[in-house]
Amino acid sequence: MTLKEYRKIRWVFVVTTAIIFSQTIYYKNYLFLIAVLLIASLIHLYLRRQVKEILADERDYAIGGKAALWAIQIYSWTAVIAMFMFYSFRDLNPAYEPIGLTLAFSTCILMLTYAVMFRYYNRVKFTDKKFVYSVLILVFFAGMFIFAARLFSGEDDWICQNGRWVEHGHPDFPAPEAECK
Amino acid sequence: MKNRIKEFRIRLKMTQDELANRAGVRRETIVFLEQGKYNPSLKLAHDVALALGSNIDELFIF
Repeated sequence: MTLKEYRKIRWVFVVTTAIIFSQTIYYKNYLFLIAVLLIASLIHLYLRRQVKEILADERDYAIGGKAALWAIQIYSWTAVIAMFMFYSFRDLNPAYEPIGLTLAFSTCILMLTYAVMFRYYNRVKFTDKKFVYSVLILVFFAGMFIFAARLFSGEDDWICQNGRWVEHGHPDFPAPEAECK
Repeated sequence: MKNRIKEFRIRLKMTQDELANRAGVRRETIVFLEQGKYNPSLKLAHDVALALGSNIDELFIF
């Protein structure tokens, strides 16, 4: 496959994946969402391997590094300012607080990931590569497990207390119509 | 950094694509190198010099 063909196929592939991805979120089919993400990543890797030409060289990686640094800075500053604004106006809309917190945590995770990756590349030899990959895979699956557990644990539910249904967490469905005893 | 990549490439009747393939980079990188807009790593400088049958000292003007 030539580089031009690859770029055309990738464009169609990304658009198709995005459409399927958005539909899974719309229909709240999270397992399918994870499956789509994994399958899409594997197909993308396969497509890359089919290209005989050079996809990226040292100049691309250098530009990529600079672009990533700028992207992190711009995102972090924007997220922090937006977070303060959302948090300041949280009395106007209860949804503002979780949005602000999400932005704050996402910035923290981004900074933390950057720091870890910088440390990894800055050291002469961090540790055995197999060990690093194993840890990363473990962290990935642990994250997936926590996400799935959180998703299917039923934590966001209605609880029967003193003869009436009380919200536990933020259930996205109405209270049961059955009598609460 | 100034260099004589274009001069050597033309002398060998080589296209930018051919040089890129021999040096293991994309054609755009050769364009940037020839224009002096990109400072290559030591490895790339060596690979380009090798592809042009030259050496780093001869190819790059420090």
